[in-house]
Amino acid sequence: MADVATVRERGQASRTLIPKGWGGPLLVSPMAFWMVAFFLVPLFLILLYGFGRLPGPYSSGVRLGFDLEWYKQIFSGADYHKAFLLTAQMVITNTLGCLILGYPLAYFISRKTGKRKTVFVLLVMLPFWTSFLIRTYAWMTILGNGGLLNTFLLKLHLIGSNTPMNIMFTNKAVIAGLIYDYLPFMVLPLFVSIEKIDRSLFEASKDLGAGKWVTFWRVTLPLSLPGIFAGSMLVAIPTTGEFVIPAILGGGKVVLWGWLIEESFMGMGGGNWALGSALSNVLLVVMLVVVALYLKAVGSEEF
Amino acid sequence: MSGQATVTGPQGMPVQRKRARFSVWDRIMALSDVGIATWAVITYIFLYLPVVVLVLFSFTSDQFNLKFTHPTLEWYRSQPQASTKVIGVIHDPTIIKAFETSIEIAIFSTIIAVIIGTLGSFALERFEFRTKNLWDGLNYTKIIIAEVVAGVSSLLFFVQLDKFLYDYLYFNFGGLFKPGFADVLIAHVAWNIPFIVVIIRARLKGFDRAIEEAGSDLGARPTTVFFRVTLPVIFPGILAAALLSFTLSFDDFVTTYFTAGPTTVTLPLKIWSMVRMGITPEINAISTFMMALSMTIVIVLELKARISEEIA
Repeated sequence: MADVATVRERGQASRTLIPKGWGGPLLVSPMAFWMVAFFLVPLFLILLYGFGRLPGPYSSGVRLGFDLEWYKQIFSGADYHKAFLLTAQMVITNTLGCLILGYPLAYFISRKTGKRKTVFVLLVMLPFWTSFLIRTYAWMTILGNGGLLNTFLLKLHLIGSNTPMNIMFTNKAVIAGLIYDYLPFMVLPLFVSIEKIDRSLFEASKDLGAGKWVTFWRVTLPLSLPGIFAGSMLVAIPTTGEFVIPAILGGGKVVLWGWLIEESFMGMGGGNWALGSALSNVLLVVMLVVVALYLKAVGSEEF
Repeated sequence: MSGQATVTGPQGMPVQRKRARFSVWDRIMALSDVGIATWAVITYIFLYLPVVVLVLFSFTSDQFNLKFTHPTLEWYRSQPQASTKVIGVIHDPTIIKAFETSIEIAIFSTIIAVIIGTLGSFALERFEFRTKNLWDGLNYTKIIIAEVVAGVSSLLFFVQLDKFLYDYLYFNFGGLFKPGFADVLIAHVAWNIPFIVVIIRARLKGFDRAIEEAGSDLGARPTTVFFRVTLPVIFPGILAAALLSFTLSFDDFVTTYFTAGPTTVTLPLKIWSMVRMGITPEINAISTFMMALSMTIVIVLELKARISEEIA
């Protein structure tokens, strides 16, 4: 009997984590090196240079210090206020837009069965696997003044030939592009959380006399909240630094925070890297605070 | 039926139970099945319309990409000649070069990232050590952080590294770290590792360690157990991670944009510079080609997963 106990003990012990030795640190070291050297250190550099006075990277003399000049410029500039508010507005519109468009879709897929379900999920994921850039660019053909949408409206005599709908290079085009590019990030977590709901709860709700609306409002929606939270995070966080979409569909006329960062690094005449670093720092801090508040409000155990 | 139903309680006492009322919303929801299906169809159209238009317009003969006149393959296979300015994408040397660069970067970054990521996954999943949470957290931070910030920080880092080496060591490896191929490669590896770790760890979590024990109980050495038992079991995870990494790297624009410098041009960078000049069927043709490649990978991956699921 003692043997059986030992074997069982051994079996259990080996299935838990190996606590001692150099195995773990040794195996993790290449990854640790790479992530520290090429992600963490550059990030610290950005933090540092946001306070420095660097006319440009190629000029001599790196004067690091504690200089708040760039922040003064950002906090007092009307253009920066406008860009900040517009970015916030875009993040909220994008998140809500994806939610409104994506929730019914996720609900629809979750009620399919077997092979069909897989096919519908795959159909959502498929466009997501092509380049962001290409998906954004695809909208140019549709939204332009001579594009598909205007041609269509013209055919229906909804607009005159001299008065095309101006969508390209406006906020509307950027919002369309944002929702299009981020929709899968919302639909997949929503689908997973709706899918997890025990179907017998719907039956129970029905048996207790609840109509479809009450069932949705009091059973489905509350139980899919984790999916809503996760999806909103996945959409909102990357949107804050978005610059490809405003560059292509906004034509540089829709100034978002990410576009400001891009311009200060890659813009005309080499830009202003110290200002760009400061802009990045503001973005990081705001994001950190908002995410922390959000997690505190909804509870991190929801994830 | 009134709004209330009478039910007999346990002691035979009548219990008044409120019955949920059917509201206006319920009447609307009565149509919900049709409504939701319609909504889903509209959303799918929204998801696919731009892509379909893009593919369709890569076959138009209208140079300004406004009308679909008649189908042609000239944007794909036109020979360069003096009479027309059109060069099909398969003959355009800059596009071929960009394609080669993209493939090289995708392959090399995938190989490096998969090796590093697999080792890291084993460490994080099977061992307990003090700094574990730190590396875990670093990976998640990398995933959620805005890519533009990661991109500009890499640019700043590499430029300063090059300058530092030159100023203090008088040796900058022949400008290896100046924005260019090496930087793109390094940044792509850092970008891919966290995603690879997520996938391989998921595979390791579902691993039944009893089969490893069975191997060692039957007298196999640890290395034999690893190569004959552990590796074959997690191999589908590694393959999935590699294909994901390849696709991410091949399609990546933001990270590449900031680290590539003026001389290294990948396909997305080439598309970017062309897009800024205006829409042409040629861009549509390259995009169609890139989409076809990415989607083939995903579909092959999905089919493989399906097959191995059925076998299991």
